[in-house]
Amino acid sequence: MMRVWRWILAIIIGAWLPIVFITWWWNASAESTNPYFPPLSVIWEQFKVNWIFELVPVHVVPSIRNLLVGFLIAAVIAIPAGTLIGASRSGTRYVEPVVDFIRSIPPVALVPIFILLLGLDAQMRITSIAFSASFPILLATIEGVRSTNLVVLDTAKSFRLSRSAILWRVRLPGAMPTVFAGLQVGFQIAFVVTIASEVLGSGFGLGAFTLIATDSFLIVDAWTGVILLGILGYLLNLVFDLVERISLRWYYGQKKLS
Amino acid sequence: MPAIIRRTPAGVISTIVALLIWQFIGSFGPLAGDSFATATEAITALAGLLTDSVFWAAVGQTLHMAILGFIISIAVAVPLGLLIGLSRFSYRSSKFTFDFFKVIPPIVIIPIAILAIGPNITMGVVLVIFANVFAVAIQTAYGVRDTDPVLLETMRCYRFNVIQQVLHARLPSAAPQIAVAIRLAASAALIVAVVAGLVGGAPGLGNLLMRYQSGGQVDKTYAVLLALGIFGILVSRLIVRAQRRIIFWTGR
Amino acid sequence: MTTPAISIRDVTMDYPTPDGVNHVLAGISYDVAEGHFVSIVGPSGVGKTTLLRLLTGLATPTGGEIQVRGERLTSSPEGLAVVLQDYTRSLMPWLTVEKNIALPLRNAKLSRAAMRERVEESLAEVGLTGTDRSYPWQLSGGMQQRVSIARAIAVRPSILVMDEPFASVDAQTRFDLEDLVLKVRDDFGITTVMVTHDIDEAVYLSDEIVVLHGKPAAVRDVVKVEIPFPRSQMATRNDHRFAELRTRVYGMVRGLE
Repeated sequence: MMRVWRWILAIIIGAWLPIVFITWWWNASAESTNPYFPPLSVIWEQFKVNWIFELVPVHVVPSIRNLLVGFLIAAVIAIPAGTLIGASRSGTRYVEPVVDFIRSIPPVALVPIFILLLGLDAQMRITSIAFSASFPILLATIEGVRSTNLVVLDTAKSFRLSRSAILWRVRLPGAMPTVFAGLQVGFQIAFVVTIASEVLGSGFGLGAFTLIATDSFLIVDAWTGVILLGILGYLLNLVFDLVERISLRWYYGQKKLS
Repeated sequence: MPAIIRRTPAGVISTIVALLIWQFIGSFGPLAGDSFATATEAITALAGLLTDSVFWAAVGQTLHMAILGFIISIAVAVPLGLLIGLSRFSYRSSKFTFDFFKVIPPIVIIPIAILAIGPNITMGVVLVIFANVFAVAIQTAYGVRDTDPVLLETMRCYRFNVIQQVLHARLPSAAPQIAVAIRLAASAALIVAVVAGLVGGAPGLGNLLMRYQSGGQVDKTYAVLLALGIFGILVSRLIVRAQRRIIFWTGR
Repeated sequence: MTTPAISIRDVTMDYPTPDGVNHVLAGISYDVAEGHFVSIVGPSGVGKTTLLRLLTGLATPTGGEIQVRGERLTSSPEGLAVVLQDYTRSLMPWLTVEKNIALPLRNAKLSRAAMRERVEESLAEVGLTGTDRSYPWQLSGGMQQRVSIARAIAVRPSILVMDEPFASVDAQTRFDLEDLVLKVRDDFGITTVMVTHDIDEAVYLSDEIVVLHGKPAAVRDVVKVEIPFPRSQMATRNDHRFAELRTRVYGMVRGLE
């Protein structure tokens, strides 16, 4: 009983600030004549017209599809590559500086390059997303595999496991908490690059919709786009956290005990 | 292996190899052509940019946005986080809201920023602040809350008042957390300042890159990218060094 | 009769938990005489540390009261010093040994020179002269605990409270620290209360041993240790009274008696 109350209390404590904020916004903007800050009630009406669910198939679905496809390609390439590189000490020494350099370039800045090379279509967008997202994943995997727990490694060797079994069944799983940290960064980059590739590449997609609305002074539409992007950004992050929690149950269980 | 290769640092060798591969792809691969600059073209263009005042003006504008936005974010977020972290109620109340804004990338609010502020330096500064202030504040608050209770109890036994506890225990305890947040914020500041130019039309390197790209000056586009990578590496090296000096007691 | 240094009067302590109220202490009464060394022993989880937190004023009892020199305790009393088990957590890693010891002296309003002198004296007392510029984490565990003790005596306390002070150091260091505590007490005459799970240690150091037992815990017995001071590791531990007492206390803690 007390647990349930605690849970409810935690929700109330977490929710009062946003509720106060939204109420304040709603009331303060009610009489607004500033064209750039329309009343929240007007934005909300337009939000319902646009996104529940009229334009979702046209603008949201392709964006999310590109995001997920690009991110998955990045993960599928970067995790095995990182595992192989991380397992070899000299491999790490040679590869890391170059990867580190490319990673230091703002991911969005790479989009113009891909536009030059591939044009403006979905293929360009997915390539941009996959390319940019793969570097943090690659670096994290290298780091995770390199710093395998030595006791675990010795135990595995004493069981006479083959080299490849040690690599894929011992070192990679042990590296997963670090890999997930890289995946998370990669996922956030993928989200940003998704928007950037639409904005810079013009056409369909939520990012493009919002910027075109801005350029055409459809201010209410622009606001709905920004709000939806914000909510999507938060929700996608939440889903990612959930997947991580489930995949790394052993890790969080162990951490809780210590 | 010849002795000369063995004695050269791995980073130098791999950089040379990477440049050779880049050169090869740019010259012979399916991507070779007008829309792909080879390594030599990009480096030559970069050398040209280094003597070009337009480039340095853009560097100045980008650094202006990044540094000013960074300083304001830290100046606001650290005290704010400290206050939030002092009580469990304020921490729990703010956690959800700050986490929400923390994960929203600044590129999302660029349309609003363009409308409300216009494509200028101020917009870049505001975007940098938006990108960092929530993350640094909530991380600071977390660090403050995470102060070792044993340490706090020891201080209470020696009759330290609340202000002394904050100054001598909570703030130094939170310092490693704050440092991590600041390091991420510094890298983010540079990136966001560039994105503000790329997507939002603010001045600086991002804008220059966009202008070169749409003007078909492929070699210069690549040269700006190289410059951005070098800046990025420099910033993160600098911060790591400063951090080791200030928070010497961790990672002993 | 003189006022005792600490007077525990019918103290009870209950904690609310999600699964109902947890009764930890039930009606504890005991007086610590001025200048005495008292150990609190009992099976693990019995509530020794809870009692200690009440004595330091970090927590308030749900029933009864604690008086320090006749005054009811509401927060940490003046003249209190503490030494805790976790020296790594109670010393500040960002301060040098000197500054760690000097920090509590800020509230004593000493001059800079007097503060410096106090730190030097305290370090000399615990045998750590010359380590003032080091950071705690550069020292061994035993040395860090000496720093905690130096910090405690630097404030010239009238009451010293120690929670398992020697539980995290190796056996040899432990003996050295026990003798150090006896010397400190001899030099300064501080009233000392120590929680420990080590019965030998309790017998070796104490004037009196309080045995807690039961759930909620009550005072099972108070054992007087009538072995004369000064004590020494070799002679005292071979004393037949030492052997008798430790057997008796051990029996009480395990509930055999």
